[in-house]
Amino acid sequence: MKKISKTHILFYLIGLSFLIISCEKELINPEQVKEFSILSTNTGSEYAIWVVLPENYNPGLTYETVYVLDANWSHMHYDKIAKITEQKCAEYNKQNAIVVGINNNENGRDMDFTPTVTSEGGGGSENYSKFIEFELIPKIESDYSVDTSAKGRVIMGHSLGGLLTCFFFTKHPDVFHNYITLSFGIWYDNDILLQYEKDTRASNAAINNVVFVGCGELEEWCVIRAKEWNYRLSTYYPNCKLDLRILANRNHIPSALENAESGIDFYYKNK
Amino acid sequence: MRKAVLIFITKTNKTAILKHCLLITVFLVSGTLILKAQETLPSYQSEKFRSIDLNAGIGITYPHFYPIPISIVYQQNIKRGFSWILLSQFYAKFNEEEYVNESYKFFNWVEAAGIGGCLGNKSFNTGLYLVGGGRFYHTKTTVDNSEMFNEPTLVTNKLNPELGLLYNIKAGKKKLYFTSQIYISMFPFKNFTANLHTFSVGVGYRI
Repeated sequence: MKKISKTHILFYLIGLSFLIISCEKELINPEQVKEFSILSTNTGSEYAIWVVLPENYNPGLTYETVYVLDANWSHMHYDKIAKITEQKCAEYNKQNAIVVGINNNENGRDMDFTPTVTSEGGGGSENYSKFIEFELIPKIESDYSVDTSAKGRVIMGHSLGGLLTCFFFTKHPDVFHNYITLSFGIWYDNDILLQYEKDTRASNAAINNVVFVGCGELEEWCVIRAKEWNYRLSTYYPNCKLDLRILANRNHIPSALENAESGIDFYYKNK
Repeated sequence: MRKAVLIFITKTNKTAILKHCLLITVFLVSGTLILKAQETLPSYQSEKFRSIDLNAGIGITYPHFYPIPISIVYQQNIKRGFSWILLSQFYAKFNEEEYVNESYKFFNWVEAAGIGGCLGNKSFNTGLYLVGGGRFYHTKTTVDNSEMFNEPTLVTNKLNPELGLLYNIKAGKKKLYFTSQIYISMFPFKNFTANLHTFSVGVGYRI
């Protein structure tokens, strides 16, 4: 009976530890979060948007904006990104930014984040980029007191969202000045984004954007491409500020938030 | 992306998983036939109990499934209901990953020791062990579009600490018995969902 009790205690402790780990406290004061929906004329889809205002938001000041793709997903959740932004601003004694989280559901992102049509579908990046540039950004800039130049805008995306950040970098580099590209799905359609980069290289060579690329060491398919992306940007875009971080012992999803933090850190150091 | 990943799994692993499931079934049926001719031996709880288990199954690292990790577990009881174990686990994969346009080779080897408790009776036993040791892995990735890459091949060799939980079940009164195990890899904990966990079944032998 004594041995059975010991084993039961062991099982109980393991269960309890998982329970404690799974409990998360609220990161952001709910009053800081403004939510609305926007029906895009460019994509035909409706998107939920979360705007996280800095604590003590003052309309008399001008704020930078961090646009977060997939902000409904746990590993890129808008409140986690907003908390990181708040902490980094405090660390560097800078004014906090407004975080704009975009809801991208599973089917929508496969269309919106991919540049070309393949046998699996996709091909909506151009329309989605128009949605962001001509519908979402103007709405945010009319409703809140934000920096309206590209320099005051950051785009952050993970996986296919990371692919979209590369799409902006190559095809619309004047919309965002700052890129946080995490575990990007640049393999899409036979590495088509690498071809886009080559095609637009001459016209974009003078840009001086801030680009952070992060991935996990255990996602080798991404590591090999992240190194290539970093090689190209460091070779052909001498004015860009670059950082590549390959996070040891992490895979695709677990690397996302840690690299997001490093990306925000890099942005505040180099903006 | 999740949909893309699922398509990726379906395209690359479906046939392989079916093939390996068939192999495991054959393995179990053969084991059943052998078990019927065994003699009765001391219980799993006995202080003198020693065994060696051979298991095969699937590796789970969200959102992928990897066939077919092999593990060997040596168990020796220290006192009644309490034992130490040695775990060796191997996994190799040589694939042409069509979805991401690359060839991928992966070899994984875990060597660990652990202690834990077990409970049960003469014909059934369940145990939980905390194990620690090392994990070596080797990968070689080569992209198909090599002309587009400055470095088209990536090779990784790495030795990491390993910490995990092993839960096993043993069933059978004979010298050979059924065994099934779940190994939860805990290191690094921040990568928990994407660590290589395994579920496997096999046969054990009382030494």
